[in-house]
Amino acid sequence: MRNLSLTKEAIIKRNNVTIHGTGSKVMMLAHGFGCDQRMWRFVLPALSERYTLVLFDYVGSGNSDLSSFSVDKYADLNGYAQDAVDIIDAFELKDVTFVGHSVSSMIGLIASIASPGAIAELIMVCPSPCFLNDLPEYEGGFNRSDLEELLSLMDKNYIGWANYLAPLVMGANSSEALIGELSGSFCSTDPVVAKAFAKATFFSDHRSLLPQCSARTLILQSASDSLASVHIGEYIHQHVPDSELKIIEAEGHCLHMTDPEVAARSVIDFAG
Amino acid sequence: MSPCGTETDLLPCGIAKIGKDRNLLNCNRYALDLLACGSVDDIAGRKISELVSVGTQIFLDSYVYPMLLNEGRAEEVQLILKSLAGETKPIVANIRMNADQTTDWAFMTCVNRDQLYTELLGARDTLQAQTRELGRLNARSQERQSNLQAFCQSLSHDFSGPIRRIRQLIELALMDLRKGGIEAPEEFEMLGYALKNSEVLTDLTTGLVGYLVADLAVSHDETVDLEEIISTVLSMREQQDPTKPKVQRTSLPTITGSKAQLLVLFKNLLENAIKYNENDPEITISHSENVAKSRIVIAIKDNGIGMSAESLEKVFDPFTRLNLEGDYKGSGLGLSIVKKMVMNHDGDIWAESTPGTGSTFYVSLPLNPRGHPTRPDSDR
Repeated sequence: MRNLSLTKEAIIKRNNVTIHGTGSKVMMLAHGFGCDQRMWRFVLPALSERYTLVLFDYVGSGNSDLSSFSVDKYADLNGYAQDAVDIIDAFELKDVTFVGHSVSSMIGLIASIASPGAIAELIMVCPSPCFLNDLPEYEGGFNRSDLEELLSLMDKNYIGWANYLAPLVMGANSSEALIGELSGSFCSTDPVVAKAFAKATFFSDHRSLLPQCSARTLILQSASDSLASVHIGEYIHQHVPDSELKIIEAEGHCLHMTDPEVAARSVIDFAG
Repeated sequence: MSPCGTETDLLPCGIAKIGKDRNLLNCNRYALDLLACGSVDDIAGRKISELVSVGTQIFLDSYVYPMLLNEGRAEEVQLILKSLAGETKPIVANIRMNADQTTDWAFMTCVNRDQLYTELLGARDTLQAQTRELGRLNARSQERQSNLQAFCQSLSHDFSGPIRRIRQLIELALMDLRKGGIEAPEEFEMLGYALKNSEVLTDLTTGLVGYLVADLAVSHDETVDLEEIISTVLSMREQQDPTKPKVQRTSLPTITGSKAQLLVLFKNLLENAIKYNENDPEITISHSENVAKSRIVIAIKDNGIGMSAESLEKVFDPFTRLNLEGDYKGSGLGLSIVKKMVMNHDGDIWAESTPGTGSTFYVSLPLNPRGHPTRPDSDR
């Protein structure tokens, strides 16, 4: 899975990789939806005291290099996982502690399986391996129509927030590269990429990967999260071999932002 | 829990305060009406997820709250409320997050905007599909064009070579017959026909290549002096055939187009004008411009044999030779090539004719087809 076609500098530019802290243990913080690496800023002071932190933006988010986006590569989470592995390889890291928020939990899981030795510990913040219901065995929380409504809602919001014609520019350009400035709001996520990211996330099912996880895993779940409920955390805990589950009394899907002290403490308790 | 108060109840927009735990703390009358609810006490404490559609709930959790936590506010957010009666209502909201993670909401219904956005997105998706299809067709057309180019090369090289050799052999045979003093009038006549037919074959090949090449993409952004084009064509003609046609003409302007195609265009038109009166050809070239000075019409009038109304209809069709095939040289492609090239320049062409008197061909061309400024002296 190692990507030999890109230099370290190219990978740093592509994913706007930034390094913080000086600890001997390396921790990689991977952001989730609708945002970029700035979402870690509330836990950054506590974590940077102990670890060397590697932060980055997925292609299409924040200050990443938009021209690196490709519809094919990022049609599923494998493309994003490849980028995470590229960063680990570029810095010649191994046994990284990968902290992934929401969708990034699954991206970290994919990366840890695809590149053995790269990720030793996985901390999943508000994860869900599958948002779609697969009743009666599995309750992901949502029906397909709910998720399609989400995509339509995203589209409507991007009319106001960003360049709603971007998909056309995309279609017309054979290199599939996007050109143009990102809108300042919505954590500077490009509409085309955001929609591709949402599709790759909400319509995917990574349940079968859970038992293959060999990294030591911590699952941090909100007590009240309408996107990823406690029982989804329990499901992951049951299926990931070396895992522990911690339910935090918090509201919503962004533990590390709403309750940064508790989130940082939990990470430190687990990672040491 | 007390309502927001009578003053906010008078506002023509919804006001709501949502707690850190995402439960409704307070709202005004407008919001209550949207939620089909009598009083705040009936819904206070309810989770926001109960008051919006499922898609909105996911959107709030995955996109809007991260933005609020990061940036403190979110503006013009399109969401869908779900009333207690189960009705869905699109709203547009401005939301602000306070230090204690409570949020203040101001919103209003946006049924029409939502409908417009739905239509707009539908149109965009259609356009996107069409763009993709256009790209596919474009790729196919480019492939065809390169095939055509290869075919044209084959036609001009692989066909012309053997034809030229056949002609040379016939000419050698005729020379040998003459040298040997051989009395063979029938053979002379037959070889003469063969030579003439091989010339027709050469004309056809050249014509066909010209016809196909007229389709190929060329630059149409050149500044072309039509005056220079006409002079070049007449001088080329003079080198081939010293019989000078009488030419009267006005000075033509400079236009924007493909120099190579315009040269072929006027060469074919002038040869056509001369061809049908080889004894004493008289050609008049005149032009006029429209009031807006955006188009030019060039008229080329001859004193040839003319055409019937029926022939006029077919004059630009390929492989149409309207007059006495044996008497006038040509491939039957010259005017169809002209028409293609005129069309390539967003122009138009038509003809008027009186049998026995002559024909006039009119070519209308844009002076400045792509916004290029015309030269100051173009209006000569």
